[in-house]
Amino acid sequence: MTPAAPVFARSWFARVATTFAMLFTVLVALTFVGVWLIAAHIVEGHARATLEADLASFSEAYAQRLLPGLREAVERRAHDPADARIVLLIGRQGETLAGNRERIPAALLHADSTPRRAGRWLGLTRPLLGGFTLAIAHDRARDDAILRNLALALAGMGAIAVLFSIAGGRVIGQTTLARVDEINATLRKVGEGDLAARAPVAANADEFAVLASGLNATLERMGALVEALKAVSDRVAHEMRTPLAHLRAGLEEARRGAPPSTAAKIGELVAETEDMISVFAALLDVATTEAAAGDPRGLRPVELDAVIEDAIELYDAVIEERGVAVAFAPRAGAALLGDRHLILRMIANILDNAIKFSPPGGRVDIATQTRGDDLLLTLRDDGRGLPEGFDAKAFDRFARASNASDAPGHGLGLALVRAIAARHGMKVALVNADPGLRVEIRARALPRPDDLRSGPHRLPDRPEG
Amino acid sequence: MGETALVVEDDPRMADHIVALLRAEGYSAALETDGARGLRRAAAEPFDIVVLDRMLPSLEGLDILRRLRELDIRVPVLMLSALGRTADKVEGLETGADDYLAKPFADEEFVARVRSLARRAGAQAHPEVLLVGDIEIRVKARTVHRAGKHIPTSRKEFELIRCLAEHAGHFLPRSFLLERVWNLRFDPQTNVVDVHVSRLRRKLDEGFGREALVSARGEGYKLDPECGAP
Repeated sequence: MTPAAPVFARSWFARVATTFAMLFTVLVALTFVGVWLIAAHIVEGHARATLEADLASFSEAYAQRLLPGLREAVERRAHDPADARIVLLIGRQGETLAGNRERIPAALLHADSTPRRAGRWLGLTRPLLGGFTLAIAHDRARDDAILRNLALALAGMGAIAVLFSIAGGRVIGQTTLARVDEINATLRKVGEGDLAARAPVAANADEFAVLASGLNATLERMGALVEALKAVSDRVAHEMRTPLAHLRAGLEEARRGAPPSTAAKIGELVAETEDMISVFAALLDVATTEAAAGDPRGLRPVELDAVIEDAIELYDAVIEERGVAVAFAPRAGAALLGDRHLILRMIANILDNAIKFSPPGGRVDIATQTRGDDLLLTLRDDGRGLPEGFDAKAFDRFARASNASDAPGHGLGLALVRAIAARHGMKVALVNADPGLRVEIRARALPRPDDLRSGPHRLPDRPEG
Repeated sequence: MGETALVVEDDPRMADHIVALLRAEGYSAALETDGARGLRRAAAEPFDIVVLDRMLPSLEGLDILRRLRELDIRVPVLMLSALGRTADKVEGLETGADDYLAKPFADEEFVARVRSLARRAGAQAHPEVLLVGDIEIRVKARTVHRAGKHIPTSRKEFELIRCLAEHAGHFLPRSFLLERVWNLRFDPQTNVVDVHVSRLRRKLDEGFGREALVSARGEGYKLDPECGAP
């Protein structure tokens, strides 16, 4: 999602609000068209009515004073400056007897009883007794101007309605997005391990405030459950360590006084106890590390490249024994905020896996780089990779891939890797690299201050510039 | 007069075991099962070493340690704590503990740590030459010779043989070696220590009559002081 993405693409509210506003606008437009049609009808009706009235008054003038009266009435009407119209009295031979025109548009010469339109004119002719013909026409120019202005006014109002609907949708979208973003930011923080994150609750108790306080209540409950779980694991640790310590102490005491063959047998039992204790310790380490996720206490600047070099040094005898080649390209040269022991343990775990699953003569490539504000660590082996769909489960406690049942381990290594990543706000991904597996770890790099107390000798391969 | 030790531990079974281990090492060991009484005793008598449990009735181990250091009592303190609490370790060391050990522990580990603390407190902290049987280790020059023959070692291999030589004749568990040589507080999945040790053993023992580097399952590794004997 780019920041330039329009609010309509990101906001459901904006889309709904705009859609409704658009529907409303269409309705208004239909109403406006209706209004205009009615107005046009009224205007034309009025024009027809005046024509009828004119005809009636001319008929009356003819009835009272015959032709001279009619001519006088026609002349008076024809030269009325307030009213632009055609008025013609035509004689028996078609000659103009009175009026304001020599001729009348041919289309108006019809025998219909109702007025007919011809261009700007609305007119009719009427034969009179004695072979005379009366032609009158109403000038529609002014009516048209009125209707045109009305149409323009209505269209303008419609355009304003459309603009308002778009702007309204935008405003609604932006304000709701801002509120939803606050809640999303809280959820993101929780997802990254900060269980203490809470959404801001507005004072006005609207639906977003209700949503935020509901979310906060859920987070509160979740936090309490996590605390309870931690208390349980602490309790289990406390309860189990004593019997385990007694078991171990008792075995050691028994071994001291035993004849050599029994002592060797007890030695085996001590070793079994040791394995049991180490599984238990790893489980507790996962629990306590997970519980500390998002807690910045005890974190210090750590040079990632130096930690990787230490991990490789720790494994150099194993690497030699297995005949695996490990190549490291340190290109990060940056530090991150972390617990050095935990980060070394995380890298040791993924390196351990890579070596364990590499065929003899295989190759493990480790590389670090900075990308923007991030530190990127990739570790790739050419082993058997992960079975389809296992990548989602690989980080669970005691998860063992179906193609790794022959390898030693309890399935706690990656669980601890994930816990350590969560502790540091890192992202870990497992990608099938065909062949082999690529582990990608992304961490937030510390800004590179020169006062960071680390000797330059720790980064022999740091590229200049 | 022998060395004296004070054990402050409320679990009677563990307390007996720790006292027995210390006595086997030649200490005359006193026991307190209560935190406040432990603090009074540690402040009143001059012990050579104090073994302090983290969780105690009446006064916590960490508080006893803090009070002792405030009173300027510099006796070496070995803290004991519950398993799987790595953060406790940092806290303990920062409060002034000289070493830290999680229960359950291997006897060899406990004894090795007590011995290390005693050595650090004594004058012979870092001898220049370590002699174990026919093996000669020169600390400053970082060289290893067996019966006059130079044995080339990597950086960590040298640290490994030096640590084993400092505790010659005693088994050292893997976790102890991991912490002292690699500064690790966890056990990697693959037994890296075993592989390192067997590589060192090939260099150290090949062509020599008697095995110098001895291992035992459940106990760890030791450098045999008799390895020079015919």
